[in-house]
Amino acid sequence: MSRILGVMDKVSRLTGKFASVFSLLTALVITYEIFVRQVLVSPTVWAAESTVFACAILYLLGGPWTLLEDKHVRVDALYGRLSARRRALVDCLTFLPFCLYLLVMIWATGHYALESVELGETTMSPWNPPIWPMKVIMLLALVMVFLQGTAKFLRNLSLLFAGRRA
Amino acid sequence: MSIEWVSFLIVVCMLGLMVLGLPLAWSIGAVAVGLVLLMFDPQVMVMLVSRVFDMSLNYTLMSVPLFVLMAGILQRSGVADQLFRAVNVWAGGLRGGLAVGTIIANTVMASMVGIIGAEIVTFGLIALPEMLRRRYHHKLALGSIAAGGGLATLIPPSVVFIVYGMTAGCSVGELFLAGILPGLLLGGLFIVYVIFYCLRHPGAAPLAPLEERQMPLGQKLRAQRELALPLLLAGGVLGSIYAGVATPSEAAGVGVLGAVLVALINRRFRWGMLKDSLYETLKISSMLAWLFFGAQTIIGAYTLAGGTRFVTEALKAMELGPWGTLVFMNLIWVFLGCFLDWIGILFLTVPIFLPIIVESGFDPVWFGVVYCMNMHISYLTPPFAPSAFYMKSITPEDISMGQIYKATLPYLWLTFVATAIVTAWPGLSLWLPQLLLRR
Repeated sequence: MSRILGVMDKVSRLTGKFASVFSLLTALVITYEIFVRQVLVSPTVWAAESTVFACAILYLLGGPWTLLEDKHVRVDALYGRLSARRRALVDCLTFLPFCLYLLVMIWATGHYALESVELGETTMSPWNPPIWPMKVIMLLALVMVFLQGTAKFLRNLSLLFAGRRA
Repeated sequence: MSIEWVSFLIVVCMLGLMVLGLPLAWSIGAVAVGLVLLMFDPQVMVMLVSRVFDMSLNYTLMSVPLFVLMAGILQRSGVADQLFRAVNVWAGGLRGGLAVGTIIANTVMASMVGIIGAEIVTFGLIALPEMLRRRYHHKLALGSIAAGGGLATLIPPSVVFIVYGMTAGCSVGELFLAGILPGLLLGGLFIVYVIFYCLRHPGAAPLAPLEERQMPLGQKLRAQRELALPLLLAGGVLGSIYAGVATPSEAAGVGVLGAVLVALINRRFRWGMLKDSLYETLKISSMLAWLFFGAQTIIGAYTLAGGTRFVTEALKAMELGPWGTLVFMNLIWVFLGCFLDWIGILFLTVPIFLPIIVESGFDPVWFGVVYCMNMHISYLTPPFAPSAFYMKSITPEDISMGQIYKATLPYLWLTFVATAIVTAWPGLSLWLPQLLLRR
């Protein structure tokens, strides 16, 4: 059990580390674009869209790692005062609304992405890159966030019933 | 179900989930999904998903990771040390000079950094040990850093303004300009307070040693050379936005490379620090973006249910008049600020408040500054006081949370005063944007 959870953590962490490079990449592309536009007066067609895509990948694929490291903001006026065991119990309860959100989003994004893939949808801009891969990435990110949340839930269960974290 | 009940249920469920410690991003989303399943066809979810997808590709949102990355690199490149040293050569003769210097250095740093966490943590590590070593009273030391660090919000670039601008559909450049004078007003109030406090309690802030006070002028001026690089970077980034040469995203992108350059020149550049900055940027941006996604779903669903119209009409029915409504909104913000952070408050209130404000003939840019001032209050109001939390994360163990709250209290009152001034006097905020951008 704990080995499967460990694999999930590793996948989230590696995906996050991979995605984190995209912020620097964006900065480089922006600077390059400004250079060729202002100095060489020949702007690229691809810079604006590709940087927006890069940042979307950054937020989306960063989601699971951010969840693993517990960096999503919460109100801890009450929660922060609970013991570790009580927190685990409350987290198990709030896992239900978490599932409601993520599972419905996964279902709807599945439809949304599938349609786009079938059409081979593009952005219709002068550069006109395919946009369906971004929708697939969004679906992937939602699934990974859900799995990472589930891994957390299982750990909390094990703390509650076995008395230690898996 | 009538819209009154739906609105009531939404508020109760959302607050309930938040109190239970479910992160805001999921709390908001779960309530939105619940609302859709209860009131509409599930197919509506696909429409909400397309709203979320469009948000992930938002051009302005892109400036958030870039400004955060720039701040992360600068924070690790010794810029804060340079600022602190350059400002403090002047502080010697003044009682409380180090605290005043800290606030000034914070204000300058705020023109490069857009998040309060980066400011408070950086200056907490540099200025706090120095002030305690000089036997400053811990109240003075803690308060000046925690309150001064908040200035990152008002002094551009500011992540809070970027997110407000996206939500409200205002120009981020105008917001940046509008925040400058209120930011200086707030910083000025803090400084005046520190000076008066030290006059009344001379024991709280011992003077600098004699040799430092008698430093020759030439040497003091030479110390200012260290300011050149950071100021050049801040001036370049902000100047290019105001001059209309670059969008905030473009300016931030070049700013990242500028920050790397500063780190290289200071010989502080390491692969490790770049990696840390990248990871930190990813987590902060992801946190903000997933919150944005949740907000898109609830705003979409609630608008569809007729909620925003309902709130607008309910507020109008209270017949408070435009200024009464404004004061009422301020009070709601102050109250929410005790429990929520700025981003939660923004998503919950701004989409509802803004149409009313615009209809009353107020300026949305100025309203953004008023919002920002209220968030300054929220940084300091317990129990949920982010400034105090950041402070606590870097103070010695023997300083308690209560001591930090107490130290920041006078600055909290001053922030209330500044908020009242900014609210009552729109010209203070709007003068600069009108002068420079709205010709």
